[in-house]
Amino acid sequence: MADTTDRPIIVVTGMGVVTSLGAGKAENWDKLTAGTSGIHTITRFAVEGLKTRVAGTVDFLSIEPFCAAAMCERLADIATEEAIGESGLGTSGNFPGPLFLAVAPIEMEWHQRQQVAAAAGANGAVSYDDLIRAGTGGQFRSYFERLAFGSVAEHLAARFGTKGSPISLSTACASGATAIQLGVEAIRRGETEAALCAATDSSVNQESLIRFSLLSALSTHNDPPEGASKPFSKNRDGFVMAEGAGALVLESLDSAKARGARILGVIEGCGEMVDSFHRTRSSPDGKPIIGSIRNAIEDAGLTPDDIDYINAHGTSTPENDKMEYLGLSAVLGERVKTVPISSNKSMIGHTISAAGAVEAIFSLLTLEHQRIPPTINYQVPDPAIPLDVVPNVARDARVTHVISNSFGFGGQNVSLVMAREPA
Amino acid sequence: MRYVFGGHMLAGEFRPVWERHAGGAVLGSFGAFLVIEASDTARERAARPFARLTTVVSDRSQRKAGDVTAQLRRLWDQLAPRLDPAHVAVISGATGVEPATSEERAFLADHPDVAVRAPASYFGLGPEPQFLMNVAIAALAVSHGRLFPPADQSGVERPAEDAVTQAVVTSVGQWRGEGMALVEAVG
Repeated sequence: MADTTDRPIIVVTGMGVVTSLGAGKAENWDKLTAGTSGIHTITRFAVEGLKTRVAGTVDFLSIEPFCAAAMCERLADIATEEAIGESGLGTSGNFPGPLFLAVAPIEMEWHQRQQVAAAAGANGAVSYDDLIRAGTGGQFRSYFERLAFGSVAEHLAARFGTKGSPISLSTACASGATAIQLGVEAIRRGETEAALCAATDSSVNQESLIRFSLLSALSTHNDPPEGASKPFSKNRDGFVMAEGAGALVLESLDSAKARGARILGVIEGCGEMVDSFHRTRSSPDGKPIIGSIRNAIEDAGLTPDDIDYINAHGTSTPENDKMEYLGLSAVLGERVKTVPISSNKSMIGHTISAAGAVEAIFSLLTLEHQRIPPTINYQVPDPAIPLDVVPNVARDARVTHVISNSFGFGGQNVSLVMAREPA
Repeated sequence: MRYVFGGHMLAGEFRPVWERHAGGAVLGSFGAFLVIEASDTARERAARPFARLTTVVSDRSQRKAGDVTAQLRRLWDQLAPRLDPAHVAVISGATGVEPATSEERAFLADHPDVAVRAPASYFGLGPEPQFLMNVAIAALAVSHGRLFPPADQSGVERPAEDAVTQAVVTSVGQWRGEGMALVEAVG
């Protein structure tokens, strides 16, 4: 089974997802199509005096004291278990393919720093020498492993028995889509018949929130929290940080058919384009975004006219939504006004490193159910962005080819084209 | 701090990586960028290749005692059919971290006639670029057809006069992951 350029067709045979809306595909899909928001006031840490006090944290799981790396691992575990379970591929603890994991950058938490400082027992202000002395001798050995960027992937590789050296990657907000792209490419190269592509992010701690806030990237619409993320609206004022994980089992169509697996969808094409214009802003001519979208459609062997739903990056920042519109109108022409587009981030917020995978899963569910989740909080249309954003209420529709966009800070852009059935 | 937590930093006086009896790495700051190109396109634009990057292999062992040695043997076996024993050198990624360095030394003992260099004795441990830097050094070595001088009195590295046309680059993570690359002179 090959595509138009004689490469293996890549299908999805298992999916798992966790967001602030809940754990599992079923709960997420029900809430997403009901227009439910998972955004709420942050209770994990004190938010007094902060401009932004809302996020899409996953509060039904808890790690005490909070550790982003440990939470990333927990979320990825749940999503992966669901995905591999659904695929029925391999045997328990023995997944027959490599792991590509998009994972948020890992940093030392404040409570960990405070523990080391306390152990230093310094007379006055804690110096670097004091910290080195406290860190020597193995008392904090577990931090060496916990704080390694590769630690989450190592854990998943050990637990699920993926093959080879696992790949941990970060391409900012495009990371989840990059993980899927790497899996697709590995199967196309003929290195493997299957791959586990996962993405996880749990970055909502004081420092990350303040950092994004200093970039003026976050919504300050704190009341009510569920109204904060309003992609494509004229009054949009920034994204909402959120947590989540997504995992997909990718497989060649031949392998899936040979074992009689249920096919959940097809990854038809991956496109990327990088731009070095600015740390956070996209190139004003939209060239990299346009290139990413075009490359994905071309890689799928399709034309822009074949796309009948867009799963938007749609972060709700003034910049992104305008640029995404610009990029899409360059590729789709007049059709941009009529092809439905919606942003899952209106409900789940921006799951950053996980977004590309989480939203690919929601795109595949859109294909499966022939129902488009809405863009909620769309009360004030932006006349500069004339799009059919599926406002506020889900819609039944015939959907054959979806494009899902992920545009990252630092100019890292990836788009994926998906379909329900192999062509 | 992370490496201190892990017990992976060299304590006391500086020594080359193979001579650090208690083990430990010295951090280094460096970057490595390689342009990798299909030979056809390089030829078309008349670019001069430094070397051919023939194979890269990697895996993840459990890191029980002896796992790293066994893993390096398995990776070497994947490259072996292409190797010319008289003209191959090893550019080792050993950084002094234990037990990884001792386990790699045990693997190298299988090949007493192969010249070894561990560049980390010169520029330390740089976790992200280490492997790329060593591939770059291997490419330079085969393009010159000879090795740079040894930096070791322990017997692992020794002077090598023979022409070098192939270099195997090893990479053993402080905690996880093992890899190898074969870099060859463009003939």
